Amino acid sequence: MTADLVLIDTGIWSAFFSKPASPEKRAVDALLDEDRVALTGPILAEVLRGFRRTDEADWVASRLRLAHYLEPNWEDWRSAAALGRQLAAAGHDVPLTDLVIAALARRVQAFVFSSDPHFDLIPGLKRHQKTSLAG
Amino acid sequence: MTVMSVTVNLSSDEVAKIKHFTQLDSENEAVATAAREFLRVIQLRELKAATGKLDYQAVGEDMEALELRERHLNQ
Repeated sequence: MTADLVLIDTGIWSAFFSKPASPEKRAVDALLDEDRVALTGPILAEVLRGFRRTDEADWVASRLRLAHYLEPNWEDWRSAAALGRQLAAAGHDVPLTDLVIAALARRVQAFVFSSDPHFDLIPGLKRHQKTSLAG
Repeated sequence: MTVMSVTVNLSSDEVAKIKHFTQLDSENEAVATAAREFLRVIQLRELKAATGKLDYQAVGEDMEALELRERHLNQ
């Protein structure tokens, strides 16, 4: 089941909520229709932080609560640290949030939907629509 | 939360399909699970209609990534 899920990164949600004509909006619409949307804590917090009004943030939270929620476990945090060391040794400073998302996605075999170039550096990661969003 | 009992009329074929897709043997549990799953998916999809209607401000790296992508597409 989780192999079909797509962890949607914050930047994609930003476009979804603010740009009705964007390709991100169309892609997330399709994933909502297919019930393939997955979330994890750091992304949820980043998305909800973007709403100026509490009532709107609460409404969005009530709906996002119905998506598939993936929780990082102990091994994901260890894997994120190892990945961070590996990338740092190659000269890449990748934020911890991205490392945890990548570690979690790799464990459950979910796709990652993001235009963040940090994810391009991570081996063994399944990407959703990377090519079409790259322009 | 108040729990209500509801009688529904379904064909034996519909009940069999609901039991199959929910992977539950109990008719009661299978129909309740199907109804809850229907509500979950329908309410999740309500997000689609919220685009452009909420006061959302991309922050930090997200905003930078969006602006970079738009500049790239407009070139």
